[in-house]
Amino acid sequence: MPNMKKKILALVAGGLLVTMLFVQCKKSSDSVSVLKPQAESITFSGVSDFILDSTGKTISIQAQVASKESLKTIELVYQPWNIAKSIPISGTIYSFSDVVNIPKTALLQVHSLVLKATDVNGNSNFTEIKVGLQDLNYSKIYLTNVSDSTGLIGNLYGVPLSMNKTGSHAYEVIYYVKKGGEKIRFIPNRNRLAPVAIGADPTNQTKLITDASKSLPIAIKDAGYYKISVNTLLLNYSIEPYKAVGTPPPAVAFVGRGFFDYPNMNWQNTLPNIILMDRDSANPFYFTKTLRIGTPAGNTYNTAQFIMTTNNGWTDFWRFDNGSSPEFAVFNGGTNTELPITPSPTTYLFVFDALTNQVQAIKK
Amino acid sequence: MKYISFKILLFFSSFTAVVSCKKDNSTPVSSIPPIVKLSNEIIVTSLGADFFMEADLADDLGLKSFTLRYDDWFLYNTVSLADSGNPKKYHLKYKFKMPDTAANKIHSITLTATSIGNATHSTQFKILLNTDFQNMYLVESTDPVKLTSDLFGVPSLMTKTSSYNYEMVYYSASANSKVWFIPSKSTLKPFLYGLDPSNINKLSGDFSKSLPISLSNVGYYKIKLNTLNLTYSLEMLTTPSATGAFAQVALVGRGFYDYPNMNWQNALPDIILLDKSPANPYLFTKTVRLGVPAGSTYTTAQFIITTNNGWTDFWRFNTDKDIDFTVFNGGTNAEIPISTTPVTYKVTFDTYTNRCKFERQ
Repeated sequence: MPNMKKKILALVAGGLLVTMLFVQCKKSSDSVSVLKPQAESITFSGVSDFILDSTGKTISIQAQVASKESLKTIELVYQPWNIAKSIPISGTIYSFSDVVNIPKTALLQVHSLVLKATDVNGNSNFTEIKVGLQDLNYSKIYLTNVSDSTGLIGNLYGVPLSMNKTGSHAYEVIYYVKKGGEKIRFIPNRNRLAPVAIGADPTNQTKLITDASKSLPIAIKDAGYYKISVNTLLLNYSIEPYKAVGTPPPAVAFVGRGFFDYPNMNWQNTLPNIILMDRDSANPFYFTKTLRIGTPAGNTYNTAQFIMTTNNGWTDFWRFDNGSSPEFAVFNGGTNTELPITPSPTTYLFVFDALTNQVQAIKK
Repeated sequence: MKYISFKILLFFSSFTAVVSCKKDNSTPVSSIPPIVKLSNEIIVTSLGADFFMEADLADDLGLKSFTLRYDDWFLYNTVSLADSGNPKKYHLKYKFKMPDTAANKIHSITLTATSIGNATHSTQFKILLNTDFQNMYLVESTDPVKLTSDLFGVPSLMTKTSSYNYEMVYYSASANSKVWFIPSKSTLKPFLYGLDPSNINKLSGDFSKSLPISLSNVGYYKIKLNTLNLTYSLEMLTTPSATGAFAQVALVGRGFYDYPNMNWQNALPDIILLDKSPANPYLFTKTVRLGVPAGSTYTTAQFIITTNNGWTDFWRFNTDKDIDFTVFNGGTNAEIPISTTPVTYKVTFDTYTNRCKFERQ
């Protein structure tokens, strides 16, 4: 009897040891370097993986679910839009189809709706439906270095700087940074920094966000030319140094009328009745001049009309893409400006980049 | 004695359990999943190109590992963050190569972050092939031979109206004609656009799945595609007025095997009148043989199309050899190498759409 009891005790203790080891150590056998995954028991196909539509619109979501075991529920979840649907289902295949309204107030970003299926044993798998917004496919995007909207008001032309639209949601510009450390953002409304001013995401500087109250201006460390690309769907951007090639013009001068301090100018094409611009000391393509626009004393006209020339008679000249709201100079083509003026002058910093043909007249 | 041995055993067993499970016992357990913020949830890339998946992972206790999984591409990689000291924050940048043979569909790579508390959070990167193609062509068959057998005009070039958007006016010559769309003139794989079998209101760009788009009536259709949204539209156009159609059109030039005396005369009998379709006055066809006629020594066929009206109204081509469309009162002559062995082609010319094709018979 005592021997038997001893044996039983030993067996119990031994069993306990094994059990303890097994139970307690189960987790540590869950190594992080599994080479081959367990096959998913639930799979998805025909998923509406990526939908591009506008806020306020209804989108339709589809997916086919296949499961080894009988299915129990399918859930569509996206908390920011208050979507939390759970549908009891059965069988090993299920065809999911639903419509979702993109809220008018949806954040301007890619949204990830989660579709999750669970079987009767509690196994689950998920897929995501990414929703991109056509609202972000702006017809026009401008680059701006101003920190508040007042810098966008009162300029004569070319501010903010127009970017080229190269494709759906894609914009590009060659831009000269005159002084290292300049901070830029991208805006779809030329007169306002709100509600959309696209800049770096404070939580991830490689990404963009659209919310003007959160986005950070992107600082460009060194002076020079850059090729700046922005994608408003993927909300990413790139800023790459750009090498200026070509021959800078020998000189650039304004010719025309409407410059307040040059009363004798009236479309002559030689000095002294033209206004030579100052060439930038670091960039031979970059010309600036601070000038007052207004009807000079003794004149009665009420528009400023001008072009730019190389101080070479009428041979090489630039006119503009648009006479009343110019953005670009057009070499040996384009139209004259026709800008309303009064006898009280306004001072602007005129900028002409002969590499990119960008023109600006910034209020001083 | 028996109790002592039992106690020893018990002591030993607890000790063993403690020793062998030391790691586990020091591991906190948490049900709070790590935070995962994807930097680029949508990735647009091309076949064979490297791309990066980027995300910021965070967990208050510390991160144990992350796993990237996509069974279609045999991707299953768990990266331990133990060597990085199980950080509370980790920026993930993972390089992967888009397989050369990837299907033209959206691929979902699942990222799972695991905390040292063994709580997990999964989310997906969606990988798209860049589908903003330079060109898009309409095909009436998915027989790959048909892409290379004809002289020109097959497949039929669409107009790119903006990024991802293509359109064309197409003549459906018979009821329930079937069409698909391809961005490469010479191959159907992997990009072949047609109806998505799981949602016939949408397009699929996947060769293995796409169903044909069926045009139920005879007549002209305006077909529009968007390869980003995978949407399409079909609009049947009003039948163009017969009065606007040309009475006759003819091939003029040289290199037509059975017309040895043509050589750029512009009046009958040394031009080849095409046959007007009884159903569509804008549509002309003719079966001809191209080849060096007996008695001639030139080695190229050169031709244009006229209205049998001297040289006043004519059509030439957008280019001289690999021709996509005709240009009314403009363009260049066709100039196509020929030999003394003739090849038979069915010529179809649609003056309404300016599309001309020479299909090998």
